[in-house]
Formats: sequence, C-alpha cells, structure tokens
Amino acid sequence: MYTTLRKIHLYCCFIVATFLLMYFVTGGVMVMESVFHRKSKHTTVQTLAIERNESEQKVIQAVRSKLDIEGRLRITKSSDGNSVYHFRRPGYHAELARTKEDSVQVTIREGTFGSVMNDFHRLRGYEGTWTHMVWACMYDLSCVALLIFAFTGVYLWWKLERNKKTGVIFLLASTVTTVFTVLYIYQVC
Amino acid sequence: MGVRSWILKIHLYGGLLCFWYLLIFAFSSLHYHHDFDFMKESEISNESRPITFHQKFEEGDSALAINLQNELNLAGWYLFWETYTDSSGIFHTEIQNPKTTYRITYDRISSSASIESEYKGFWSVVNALHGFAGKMPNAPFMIFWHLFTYVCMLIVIFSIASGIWLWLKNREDKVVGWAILIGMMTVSFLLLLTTYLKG
Repeated sequence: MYTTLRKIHLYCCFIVATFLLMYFVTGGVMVMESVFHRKSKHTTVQTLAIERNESEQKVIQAVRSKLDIEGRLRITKSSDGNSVYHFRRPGYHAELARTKEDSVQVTIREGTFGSVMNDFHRLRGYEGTWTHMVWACMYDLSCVALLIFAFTGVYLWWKLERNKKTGVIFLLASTVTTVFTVLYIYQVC
Repeated sequence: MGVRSWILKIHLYGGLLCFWYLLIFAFSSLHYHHDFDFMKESEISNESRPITFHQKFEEGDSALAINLQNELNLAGWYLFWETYTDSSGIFHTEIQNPKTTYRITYDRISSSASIESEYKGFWSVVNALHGFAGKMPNAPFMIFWHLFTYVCMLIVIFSIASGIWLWLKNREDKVVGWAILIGMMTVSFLLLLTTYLKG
C-alpha cells in the first residue's frame, strides 16, 4: 500500500509538474498585482477598407490573414447589434468590428507581463480548438493531482514518521489558519 | 543530519502545512472550471439604518461610498462601477466581500441608508480563499491568509522540485519515471507555447 501510494504521489507530480508550476508561479504574480500591473502595454486601433458585398465571415477571415491575428474566438454583440469578433490568447486581445458597410475596425491590445500571467492562470473551458481541449484537460488533471498530493502526502507522512509530533503541529497549524480565516470572514463580512 | 534528510523534512512538513490550502485551491479551481450548482447560494435580506457621519470628507461618489462603508462597518471592496447618484439625488453603491454582497442606497436628505444584503453561502467563502491579492477594507486580519497564500505557493514550488530531487536520489529503476517526466514536460511546454503564440 505504502509503495503504491508513493508511486501514485510521484507519478501524479510527473504528469502535471509543469502545469502546477505554471499555476503557482502565475498565481504568485497575480497576488503581487501592485508590482505586476495587468494593463495593456500597447493598444493599436486601425480601420481597414473592405469589399462592400463580401460576407462577414469572409471579411473577418481576410482581416485575420492580413494582420496575422490568432487566438480563441468569441463573438459578442455591440450596442448597435453588430457582431464583434474577439480573438484572445495570453496577453493578446484583438477585436474586429464592422463599423460601416465598407470598413472594419481592428483594435489590438498587447498585455504586460502581469497580464500574460493572469491570462495563463485564468484560461479554462472545454471549448475552442484542440489546444484548448487539451488545456482544459490538464487544468482538471492538475486539480485532481493536488487532491491526490494532499491526501497521499498525509498518508505517506503518517507511515514514514515514527514520532508524529512535529507533523501534527504543522497539520494543526494548517487547520487553525484555515478555520480561523473562514470564521473571521463569517464574523466581519 | 544530511541534506537529503533536511529536504525530506521540509517536503513533508511543508506539505502538511499546505494541506488545507491545497484542498481549497483544488476544489475552488474545479468550481471555476465547471461552475458547480451546489456551490451557489443566495439569500437576500433588507434593512434600513440612519447614518451619522463622524468625519468630514471630500465631495464625490467615491468618498461617500468609502465613508458609508466605514460608518456601516462593512468589510469588503466597494465597486466603483456600481457607484453613482441617480437623477432623483439618491446615492447607490455596492460592496462585495467573500460572504455577502451589499447593495446600498443612501438618501442624503433624510440621512438614511437602505441595505440589501445577499448572503452567498459557505462555498463562496471557501472559494474566495483560492487567492488573496490584497487587503480587504475593514478586515485587517485577512493579511494572515494573504501571507499564508505566499508561503503555500513557495512550498508547492519547492515540493515539486524537491520531490523530483528525492526521487533522483533513490536507487529504484527510473526508466518509466524519466519517460513520463520528460514526455509530459515536453507536451506541457509545447502546449503553453502553442497557446501563447496561437491561442
């Protein structure tokens, strides 16, 4: 049992090590928001002329090819009812909106380091291209791996250490900090 | 005591210190991804209170929102995009914290505030512990969780590296381990790179 759980603990780490590192490093950058700002580094706005009778899909495709726009697509509606095409990837957001019959407005925002880290940390959802599907799968695997680390870790410590006093103190410290914080939130909020 | 023994102890005790944080981080992440229904709760209550400001403050909606929050002794952040004075002169603001959303209207003439409190439930409180980026107004002790979050992050990063190092120091056969480690690291880096470049 001990050897099996040790192997599970170890191989779970091997499978999600890079993703877990990414989540904890990007999370660290996010909690240091005052140092790593998330504002856009550059914003460029340009208006491109298009053929009047072209379909919207063809127009968007042509603009994407011309400006080399890549990213996960999401379509929203503007206040005047027109479709707005958003292409996002970490630290990058392109917005394409048909403003008139013969023009498309393209707004491209490039983010700072803080914004790239924030976008990596928050990327989720089983939708989009195959990379997003694999990403979402790795996201879930990382969460499950964390649960496995926590439980198998406690088991392995329990089996490994003869004198459990120090370990119990650390586990208690974790419990007290968490319970105190939850109760404190209930008290003051 | 050798280096290996020290690293193993830090790995073990550090892991135990992070136990609850890891559970909270994992469950809240799963909730952010799958939006679990059982974690959603909403209970609304209303009350009215007379307000007497004990300090003078500058004109403006932001200053009024902050002073109202302090007079009502509510913990949380006021939302500037929900803060405004309507055409009849009634002031509106919203204060968010992990447990409750307060929607406040304040009548400057009668000096009374109506407060709609929406209790968001136990899981909202737990999920809020996922990461704490800054100080919460009127909740000074939240700084402990903020610091605890930093400590846990450092421990997890250390534990991944030390776990691999401890495995390397073992005498067991490592072919399968190396294959999984290198294979998954390559796949993950390629995925990160593709996502960064192509979305």
